[in-house]
Parts: sequence; structure tokens; C-alpha cells
Amino acid sequence: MKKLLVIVLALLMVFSLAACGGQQSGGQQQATETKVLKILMEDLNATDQVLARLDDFEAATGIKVEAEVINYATMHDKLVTQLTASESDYDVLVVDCYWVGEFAEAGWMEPLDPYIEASGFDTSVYLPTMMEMVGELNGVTYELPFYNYMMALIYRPDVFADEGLHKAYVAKYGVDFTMPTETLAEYVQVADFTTAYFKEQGVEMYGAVHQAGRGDPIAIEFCNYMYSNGGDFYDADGNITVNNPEVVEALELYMDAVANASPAGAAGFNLDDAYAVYSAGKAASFVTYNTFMPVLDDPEQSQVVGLSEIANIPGGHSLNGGWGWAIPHNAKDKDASWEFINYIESFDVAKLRAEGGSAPTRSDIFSDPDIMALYPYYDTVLDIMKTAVMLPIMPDSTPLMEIFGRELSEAVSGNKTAQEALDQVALEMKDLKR
Amino acid sequence: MISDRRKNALIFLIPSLILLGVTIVLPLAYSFFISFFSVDLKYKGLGAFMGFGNYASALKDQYFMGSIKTTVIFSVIVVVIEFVLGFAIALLFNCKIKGKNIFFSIVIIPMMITPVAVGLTWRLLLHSTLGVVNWLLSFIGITGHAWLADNATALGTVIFIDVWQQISYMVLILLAGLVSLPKEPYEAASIDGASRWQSFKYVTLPLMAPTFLVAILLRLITAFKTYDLIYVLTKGGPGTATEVVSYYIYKQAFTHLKTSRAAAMSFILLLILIPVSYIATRILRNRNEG
Amino acid sequence: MATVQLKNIKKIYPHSESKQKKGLFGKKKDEEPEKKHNLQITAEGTVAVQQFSLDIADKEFIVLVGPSGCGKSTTLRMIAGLDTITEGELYIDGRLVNDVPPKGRDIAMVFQNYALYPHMSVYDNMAFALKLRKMPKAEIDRKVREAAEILDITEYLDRKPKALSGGQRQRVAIGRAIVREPQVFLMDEPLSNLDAKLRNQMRSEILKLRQRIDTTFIYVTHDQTEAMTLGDRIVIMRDGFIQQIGTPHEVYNHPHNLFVAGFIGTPQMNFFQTRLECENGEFYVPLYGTRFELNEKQKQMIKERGIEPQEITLGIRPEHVSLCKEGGVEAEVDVSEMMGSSVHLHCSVQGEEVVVIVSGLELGEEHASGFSHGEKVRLHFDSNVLHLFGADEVNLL
Repeated sequence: MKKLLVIVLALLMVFSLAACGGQQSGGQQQATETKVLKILMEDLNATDQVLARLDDFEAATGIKVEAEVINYATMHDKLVTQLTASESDYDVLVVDCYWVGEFAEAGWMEPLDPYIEASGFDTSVYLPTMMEMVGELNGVTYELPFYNYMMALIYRPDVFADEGLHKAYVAKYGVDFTMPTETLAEYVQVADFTTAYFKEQGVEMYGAVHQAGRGDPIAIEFCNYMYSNGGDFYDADGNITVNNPEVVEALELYMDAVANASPAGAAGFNLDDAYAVYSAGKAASFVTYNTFMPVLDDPEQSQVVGLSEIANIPGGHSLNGGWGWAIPHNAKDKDASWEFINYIESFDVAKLRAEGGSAPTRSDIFSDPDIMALYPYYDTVLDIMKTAVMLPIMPDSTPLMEIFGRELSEAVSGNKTAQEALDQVALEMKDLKR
Repeated sequence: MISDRRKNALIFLIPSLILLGVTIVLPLAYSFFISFFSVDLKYKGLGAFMGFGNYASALKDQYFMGSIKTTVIFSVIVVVIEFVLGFAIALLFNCKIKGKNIFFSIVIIPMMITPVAVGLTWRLLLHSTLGVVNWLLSFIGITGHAWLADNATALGTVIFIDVWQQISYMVLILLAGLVSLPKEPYEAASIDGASRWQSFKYVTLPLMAPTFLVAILLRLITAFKTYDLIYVLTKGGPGTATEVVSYYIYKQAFTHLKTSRAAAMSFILLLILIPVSYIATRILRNRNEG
Repeated sequence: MATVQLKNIKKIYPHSESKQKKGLFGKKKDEEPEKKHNLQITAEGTVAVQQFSLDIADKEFIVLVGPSGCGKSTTLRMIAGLDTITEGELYIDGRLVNDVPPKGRDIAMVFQNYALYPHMSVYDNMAFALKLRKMPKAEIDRKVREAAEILDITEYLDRKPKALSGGQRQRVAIGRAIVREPQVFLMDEPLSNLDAKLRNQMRSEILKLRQRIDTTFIYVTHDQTEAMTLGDRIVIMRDGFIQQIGTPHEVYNHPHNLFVAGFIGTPQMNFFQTRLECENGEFYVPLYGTRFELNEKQKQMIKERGIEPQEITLGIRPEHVSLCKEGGVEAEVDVSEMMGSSVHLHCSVQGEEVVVIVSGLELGEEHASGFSHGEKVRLHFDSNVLHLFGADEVNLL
């Protein structure tokens, strides 16, 4: 009798545990019935423009979209854990351009061609560079380009027009400068000089601010220096060229600028830190994403409204970048996922997003008169994009950027020379899958 | 034959044993298993069998070994400072002071905040040009120091912030120890002619010794596993100045997607920590028996 | 070897103090003041001890005794310097020591729970005070070994207190006090944590010890047997007040009041509510239909003090009640406790309990192993040793 009681009690405990678990899965089931799509997104303006359209989408289709908005730094790792699971929490992916190789290699993105065909979506409207970067890979369409974050030089013409600055510059170098400068070396020289000049004047104004903190910030920013100085990770034949003289020279220039033009501490800055300095009116130039132009002109987020201009990186090759929409291979309802992508990338919706400042990827939006009226600098952006370079699309691009970020930080913080740091990158690149 | 009593006990234990097994033992065993292969999250399957290859390459990895060295330096300094300062604060709280409860709450607050929030807050405070810290320091003539970006101060700054947050943990443990000390030996000592200092030296310190050890060892273990603060504050930078081993392993697993290598490194870390935790549990058990 | 004088000592535990003593974790470190029941509570706080005056002669053995919460331990702690004296003066060896810390009073104390240093060996426990005095090592060693010899704990010198039995720990605690050769030896319920057998043994050892070290002892206990056997004089306390000071003989035979009468002596004195009557100038006490005539001495005292007939409590110790074949008062046995050499009989007389001690010699064959429940006996009360307590509970005679 007693034994029976014990067994019954134990069973009860087990079932009560099971019941708890059951309730949870029951909740999830209910969620799919009302069709909820979940997306993990980065916390920035382009995302806000998507969020603003979600109610319309739900009204039109009855599908609710829940976006989880987080800091960029944690996105990749959070996605990976979902994508390796048998079923993903997320129904739509936003994929940064340098994850493409990795995600495609792993088979985490569902080929979109059947859906594109079925719904008759015209992908030829996208800028070819965008399709090449966050659209097609090896003849398969994995993504639709979401927004563009090509980098550029954002600077303050008013600061660089300072008469005293020019006079002093001429006195020192014998020639005057124009901003933006022709070459990277000259840019660094002007930036350094500007910082020194204003310091002497007792004004807190830096010639440039950098996001030289370890990890993505420094890696991404330095790519602009590397490309503009004629360097790259690999040459056309796939040989590692990251420690070639032109890259070493670029890094030395970068180190010079971080040390002498930027405020102290730039070697630990991420994008937010650097943006804070620039938007507070304490820096005269900033290599950053073109998408920051509208933000810098927003009085709520900036103290330098209307003062910035955008230009190509001195030397002429900025880092192209963008995000794409994709469907995870383990999504629960791929048709619904596509329905959302199809909606959000349609001309009307994309235009509404672009009006809000999300950098376009469609050429028909770039050339739309309303948009051009709102953002006249898109001319320049399109111009810069012609010579912009994108990161290599390869399975191990994420580790590449991690290694790159670490070694650049080593160089900037004075632990290694430019050559030593880049040699280390080249050495570790040999183990990376291309 | 096991007795009925034991059988009954076993039946009741089964649910929690299953839970423990599923949440702790299985993952541990699985990660130990895959540490001998070459799992890459991008690909399905275990990959090639490596034997102890992952362990060997980890030990040869200068960055991994460097991160262990950084971790040891970080942990030892953090624990020493927290212990000395924490004991001083605990002693203070053990006296009768007015408004002690308010101060106590203040000391406890940092512990309640998640390390990520602590890190973000301090990042802002320490911003070299816009932060409050440098603004305050400018009044005494120290200007624009890059606390987290300078090789010379990055680790020290991280240590400072960790101490700021974690010291309350030490204070709590030590204070709990002080409060539970028997009162009688102190009365005996005062009658035996001991001054306050002598009471402290001959009674408090020896009686607190087991608590000291436990607090130090437990904190050493948690310090060794520090990850979130580094992640938010420096990402291991500048260079590798603040790269602690947990962060390095995390990078191996989630950026490089080298799961097996990360597993092997985790087990090396575990091997370092096991003796420490073994000593800690031994002391705890001895004390409970005594 | 010193006199101790207490002059009108008063101790008040402030109300807030008990709160302050709570640790941060709400744990009360010292609940003593709050447990006390009938203590006077004034605006300043709880009065634990008041109007305490006592002159202790050199080498005297004084026992403070009373129920828990009577203020005896507080008094001892004030003498030790562990508690501050709220009012009054304390002299040790003629020196006012109210504000002298314990270390300056040249006293040693044995605590109820031994209060040994748990981390030190027995040897170090005993040597600690001497080390603090910077005594030469050889001398410390001699003294410790001598004390250990006296207390028969030489073989345990290297052990930690944890490894000792209760009795052994108590010896160490006493040893720690002995080596100091203090002027005054304070003991706070030193035997209360021991079992009955050990307690008896230690009690006689304390007596022997006292002869050996020959100094002033102040000993606190709640056990009246210890008080009676050990003390030169006994101080009986209740609710913070001294009830009586006297030799064991005095307090036993001439209890100053009802409380002392009831507290001292086991089994307790029998009490009866009755009257002191006067008939034709002759005083007597009626009880259960019989008349207790007072003896000449008693009558004389009543006359001298001019005592009127009144309601009284009559007290008779159990050993002054005996069994008789005829006469006396009829009683029924409730419980018969066989104590070996005697039998304690709990009888009921007209619904009231009366305890009688019957010595073994008086027991006949038939009652060799006691009495059975319900048995009828006849009780004789010895009127020579009556105690009469007036309405104010004070002994009339």
C-alpha cells in the first residue's frame, strides 16, 4: 500500500513537471495559429522604418510581425544558435553582407528563386552592386537587398573652411588643402594638423574621430583606408595580400590618425562612442555609414544639424555594405516569411522606408524625385558606390573580421607594428576557408 | 539489496535527477565528446576525429595561453583587492554605526545590477572626451585619459569596475561570517586582558580563516569565469590587453564557429578550476562538521 | 585575593540597546534583557538589577542564586566589566573600578558555555592571557602545566576544544582562569551545561580547587543545591532585587521571605494559607482542625514585635513533617518517590498537596520500597520549626 502511494506521488511530480512544459508548447502553438513572424534586427534607423510599416502589413495580410531589436554586436552569435537548431525562433533573417558567405556555406538561407518566380518579383530593380553583395551568390538568389550602409567620409566643411587653419597649414606645409583631400595620406595629415591647430587655439575640435575599438568597429573602419590605399585581403587569384606594402602603409596612416587626429580613447571607441563625439560637434570628420547623414540632421540626435557633407574616402574606395532579407532554412512557415519580404521590398513600401532615411537599394528609389528632393546627397552616394569595394564573400568571413579586428587593435594600441599585426592576420588567414 | 527506505528515496529523487542529468550532465558529457572531433557549426556532423588534437592546438595557441595569463592576473588582483577592501567594509558594518542600513543598501546595489548594464554605464562614464570621470578629473589637472583604450590602464580599469560591482559579494560573505562568530571568545579575551587589536588579531582573524578561504576561492572561481563585463567594456581590447579566457573561448565558439576547439578549451579551463573548487568544498564541509 | 564591594548598583538596559544588538541579518545577539519577566521597565529601559549592595570579604566564596532573569548574571558581568554599571559604585580591593575595563580589574571568569578559543589548543587557551602579559615562556609553561595537573587535563594539552567532552572543556575553562592567579574568580553557571553526574563531581572539585587557590570567588548559579554546598554566603535574587544575603544555614533556616523559603531547599517548603490567631494572649495557628501552639521563643518574638493576629502563610519544610500512627492529620498518598535513603511522599490533605520526607529508618518492612497510590497515612507537623509569612510575604519572626 505504502509503496503504491510513493509511486503515485512520484508519478504526479513527473506529470506536473510535464504539464508545465506542455503549457509552454501549447502557447507556442497558439502563436502560429494567429501567424506571428519573428525577426531579429539591429537597433538603428533602417529598422525603425521597417517597424513603422508593420501595422500596415498586419492589416493587409493578417500576419503579425514581432521584431526583436538588439545591439549589432550580439546579433551574429544569437542568430547562429537559432540557425543550428532544428527549428528557428526567427522566421525572417536580416543578414549582414559579411555573413553571407558563412550562412550560404552552412545552408542556413533558403533559396528564394522559387518564391521570386511564383510571386513575379522583379529583382532587376536593385542596384547591381547590392544584388552582388546581398542578393545572389553563385547563381542562387538567397536574399533581397534590405538597405545599404556603404561607408563614406562625413565631414564639416564649416570647420575645414577656418581661415586660421588654412593659414597655419600653408605656413607649415607650403601648400593649401581642400577637404576632401585627394589622397589618404593628405587626409591624415590635414586631420592631424586640424586637431593640433584647434588644441593650440584652446578649442575642443578634433580633425577626425575614429571607431578604433577592438572587433568590428576597427576592422570595418580600416577597410576604407585599406581599399583607398589600393590594398585588399586577397588579389584576383585568391592570394593573401593583406600584409602587402600598401596595406601596411594604410595601417600606418590609420595608426597615425587614431593617435594624433582622434581624441584620446578612440582606440576603445565603438560606433556609438565615435558618433557621440562627432554629433556633439567635437570632431570635423568621421569615416562612417552614409546612413548617418539623416541622423546627423535630426535635431533630436545631433547638435550639428545641417553642417555635414558626405564625400568619397580620400583615395577613392569606400567599404560597401548592406543588409539583405532572407528566409532561414528552418523557418516554420516559409510562405508567410516570403509574404513579408515581398511586401516590405515592394516599391511603395520601400519608398516609404527610404523617405524615413533608410538608405535605398533599389535604383528606382534612388532616382525617385521625391527621395532625391529629400536626400540630395544620394547623388554622391551613388557616385561613391561605383568604386566601393565589398568584403570578400567567403564561409569564414566572420572569423576573418574577428582576427582582423584583434590585430588592428594590437597595432593601434602599440603592442605591434603595422607589419607585425598584418603578418599575423595573413598567417591566420591561411586557415580560413575561402 | 537496497532497503525499502532507499528505494522510496530513489523514486522521489528521479525527477530531479533527470532534470540535473538533462541540464548539466548531458551537455557536459556531450561537449567532452565533441572536444575530440572537429565540429564546425557551419557544417552538420562531427567532422574528423582529432583525438587530443584540439587540446594540443589550444595549448599551442598563443592567444589562448595569453588569455589565461590575463585571466589569472585579473582574477588574483580583483580577489585580493575585493578581499582586503571587502573585509574592511564588513568590519565597519559589524560595528554599531548610525545609518548603517542605508550604507549597506548602497554597498549592495551594484551587485543587483547586471554586469552588462554596469559595463554600459561605466563605458559612458569613462568616455574619454564626453565622460563624467574625465570631466571630474580635469579639475585636478588630469585631462583626456583613455581609460579603456590605453594598454597601460585598460586592465586596471576593468579591474576597478569589477571590484566596484563585485565587492558587495565579498562584503556579504565576510559580514555573514563576522555576524555568526561566537560572542563568548571575545568576552573571554577581554577578560584575559586582550586589547581590541589583540582580540582582532588572536580571535577574529583565526576564527574567520575558513570564511576567508571560502570567500576567496569562490570569488576566484567566478572571477576566472568573467565574461560579460569584458564583452561590454573592451571586447578584449585594446589589442589583447583585456582578453580573458572565457571571452576567447566564446569567440572561438560563436564567431569562428569552432565548437570542438572551444569545447577543448573549456575543459582545459575546467581542469584549472577543479582543484580550486575542490579545496573550497573541502573547507566548507570541514567547517560544517566542526 | 581582594575584597569586592558593591554599593547600590543599578543596571538598566536601554530600550534601544536591545534593538541595536540585532545584527544586520535580524539575528539578535543578546536576548537576555528581553526574556526577563517581572523586571521593572522605566523610561530609560529595562531595570535588570537595582539596589544591589554587598560587601564581599577577601577569600570569601559568594554565590549569587535565583531563577533565570533575576539579574544574577548581569551583576556578575558588571563585576567583570563586560556590562557597564548604570548607577552605583563597584570597588575591587578598595579601588573604584566602574570605568576600568575588564583587563584592568585583575579578575578571571569561567563562562557557562566555556567560551574557549575554538582555534587554539588547550595549552594555548590556557596560556593566552599569560602571553598577552608578555610573561616569559618558561614561566607560562610551568603555570599551564601546573594548572593542567590540578585539573587532570595534562594529556589533552595539544587537543583543540572541539575534541574534548563537556566536562573536559569546563576544566580547560577553569584552568584558563587559574593560571591567571586573579584577585577575584568569577564563575557564571559553570556547571549548568554538564550532566547530573559530572555536575556533582565538578562541584566537589570546585570546592577542592577553592581550598587550593584560596581567593575571592563569586559564583552564579540557578541551582540552589550548588549555592548551598559551595557558598560561604548566598545572595538570593529575584527580579533584579536582592531577597536575602546569608550563610547557607541562615537562608535555609531563617528565610527572609516567602520567595527565599520556596527557592531554597528541595523538595520545596510546604505552604498553607491560614491565620495567626490569638486566644487569651496565647498565639496559635490553626491547621486542618489542629492547633499549632507556638513555642516560647516564637511567642516572645511576637510580643516584642507587637504582631497582631492576621492572615498568614504558614511554611513547614518537608523534613519537619513526619508520619505517625495516631493523631495528626489524615492524608492520602498521591506519589511516592523513592530516593534511596529516604522517600518523598506527595500527599493530599483536604485537597492540598503536602510533601513529606520520610527517612529510610522510619520506613517499616511493609513500606521498604515506598507507598502505594491512595494509601492513607497520618501526618505530624513539627511546630518548633514553623515559618510564618505575613501578607507582605516577609517572615514575621
